[in-house]
Amino acid sequence: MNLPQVVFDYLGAINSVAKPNAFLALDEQGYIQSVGGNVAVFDVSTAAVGQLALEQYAHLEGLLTRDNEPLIIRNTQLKPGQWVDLHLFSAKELRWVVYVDNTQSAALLQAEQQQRLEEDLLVELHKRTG
Amino acid sequence: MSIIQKKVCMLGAFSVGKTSLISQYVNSIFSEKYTTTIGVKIDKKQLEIDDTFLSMVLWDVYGEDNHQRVMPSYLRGLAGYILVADPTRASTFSSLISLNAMVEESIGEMPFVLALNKSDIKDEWVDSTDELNALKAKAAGVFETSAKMDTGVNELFTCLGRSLLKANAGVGS
Repeated sequence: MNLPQVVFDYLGAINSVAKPNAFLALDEQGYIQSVGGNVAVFDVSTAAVGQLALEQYAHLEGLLTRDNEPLIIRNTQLKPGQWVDLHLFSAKELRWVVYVDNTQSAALLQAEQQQRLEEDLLVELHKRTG
Repeated sequence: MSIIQKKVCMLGAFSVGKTSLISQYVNSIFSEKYTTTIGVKIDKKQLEIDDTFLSMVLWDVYGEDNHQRVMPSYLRGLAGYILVADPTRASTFSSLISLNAMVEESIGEMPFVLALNKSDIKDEWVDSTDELNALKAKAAGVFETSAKMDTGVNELFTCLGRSLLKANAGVGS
């Protein structure tokens, strides 16, 4: 899949070796100016140039601020069993949203965390019941 | 008719029932099996309040535990939040106090409601604390909920919805 160089420049600047899977580029008003990859893999919607991003992608609600600060939302689950890292940054007078599939490591993390928290709950229960 | 869309975060300690409350509210499903949340799970629910359509974008944020705190990046752009406690575990009260302080420090004061979940086992609840009582006084509403029995769930989200619309009207006026 061909992605704009600006996406790779951003990921390089934050020392990320992640492989981006999809992106949206939005103008100041939040309209999609360009789209690449398969965003529908991560969400139920499909994107088209000229659409208002928030109408298609509710998960972006609140994130499209104008402060131009980069933002990373780790392990975002938009579909059951599938996690994505969301990267938002500004470049070339556009706001970019990049989707990086993180399902494999999130699933491993979930298995570890599940075991740890179940043990913690048991400890709490023993403390309560003596 | 236009729809107002707002981001709402569910916050609380691990295993208090945040995911179950959303699952019950959005899909009318409850599972006895505890499944921990990694990162954030995003859902959407549209409701109608006084002839206004509100679309709540629900961020089910991972629960705090001894090893991890909620990262402020998950709170970006929230319009309101739901604090969830499991009153059978007093430790979940202190999590709410710190989470509420974090929201107020990083975002500012926003509408929130408080869910005292697992009301189906109320006989196992412990006494409230002074700090929790202070938090209750600040909340737009306090609800005894049971995701399992579907008790108080709709009322919880509707109350927050009303507060969001009120805050939205205040911004617009």
